[in-house]
Amino acid sequence: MKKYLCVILGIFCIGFTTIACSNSIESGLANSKPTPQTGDLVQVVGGLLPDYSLDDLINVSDNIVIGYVKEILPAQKGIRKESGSSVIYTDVLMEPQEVLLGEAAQEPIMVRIWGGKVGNEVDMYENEPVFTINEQVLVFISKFTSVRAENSNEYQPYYRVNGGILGKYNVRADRVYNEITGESFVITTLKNKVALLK
Amino acid sequence: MKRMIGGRIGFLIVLVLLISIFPTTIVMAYSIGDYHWDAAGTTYDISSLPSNWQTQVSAAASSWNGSGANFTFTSSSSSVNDLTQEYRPDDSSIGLSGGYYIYGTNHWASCWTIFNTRYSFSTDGSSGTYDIQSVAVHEPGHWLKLNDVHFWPWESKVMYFVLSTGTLRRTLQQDDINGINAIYP
Repeated sequence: MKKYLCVILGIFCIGFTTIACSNSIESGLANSKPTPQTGDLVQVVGGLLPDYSLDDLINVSDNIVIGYVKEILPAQKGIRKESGSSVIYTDVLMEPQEVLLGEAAQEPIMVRIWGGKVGNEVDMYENEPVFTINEQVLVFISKFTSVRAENSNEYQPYYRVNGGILGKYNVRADRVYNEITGESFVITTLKNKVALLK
Repeated sequence: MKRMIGGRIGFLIVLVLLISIFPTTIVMAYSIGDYHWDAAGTTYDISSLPSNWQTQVSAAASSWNGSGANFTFTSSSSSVNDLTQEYRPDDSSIGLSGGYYIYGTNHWASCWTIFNTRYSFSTDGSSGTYDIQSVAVHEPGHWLKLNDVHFWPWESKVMYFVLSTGTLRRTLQQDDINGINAIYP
């Protein structure tokens, strides 16, 4: 009996230690998810995404890129060209390593995600991917010029991740996996599909 | 021999107790936010939507009203909570909904929903289009502070995070109903 209890307690200790360590490591890195503070006005946005398959993601994307998250810029307020409505966005700079689809991208690639913290206003989008400094990612992206910074009249180009959380994968050796859906595939499989579909 | 049997029974009891702690959140096929409306209902404005869309949005609101929860949606053209359509070419969402609260409180107020017209919609889920009512039944879930659910095989639930074209998903499933009743008992 004592032996069994020791084994179970041992497993739990290892589990809790692992969770505690991973949390402390994570908290030491900058990521694109805003952190509200008491008294902030928080807007939470959820929604419904298209049920994109891998083939769909390839078809709707201008570029498919593997690279590292280099920098996460401070959030800004922007204005939408089509409706004039405002949006808080965060630009993520990505150092490309390999371009699987599309032209060799500018360096670094600027991926724009909705949400961020400006003053005491915080926008949180549940369907937007979260990027962490130094993580290696594969993204399905397209270029747009639909949102300008509030303090500028020019619509500078930026990339958006197609399918929101569906279009960002983490890279592990020769495989990629999606943290939300758990979907995983070998990069070579993706390259073959791209060659077939594009 | 008795000691051995007692030990095994003890081990099984401990194992069952430990297993029962962890799957609690997994078995509940809904996810809820930590803030909510103070009142037992709110109004919504659909006056800017096409009339056939209005019918379907109202039907979706009725579905939630019939869930048994202590919360009621009421249509009103003077409501600050509106459902509109907007062209957002750089947003992948078919429909999206937002609302506001002051961090540190759990008082949720003032919501909106947008149907993204970069996509094609229909009132019957025709091939290549998104069914308005299926989108409209998902979005008020966010107003009520139900979060999206992401895991297969939960795709029949209205709060599942993706929708296919040509698909009708208009009916609240038991987990959606359980979720809303957990927030507004």
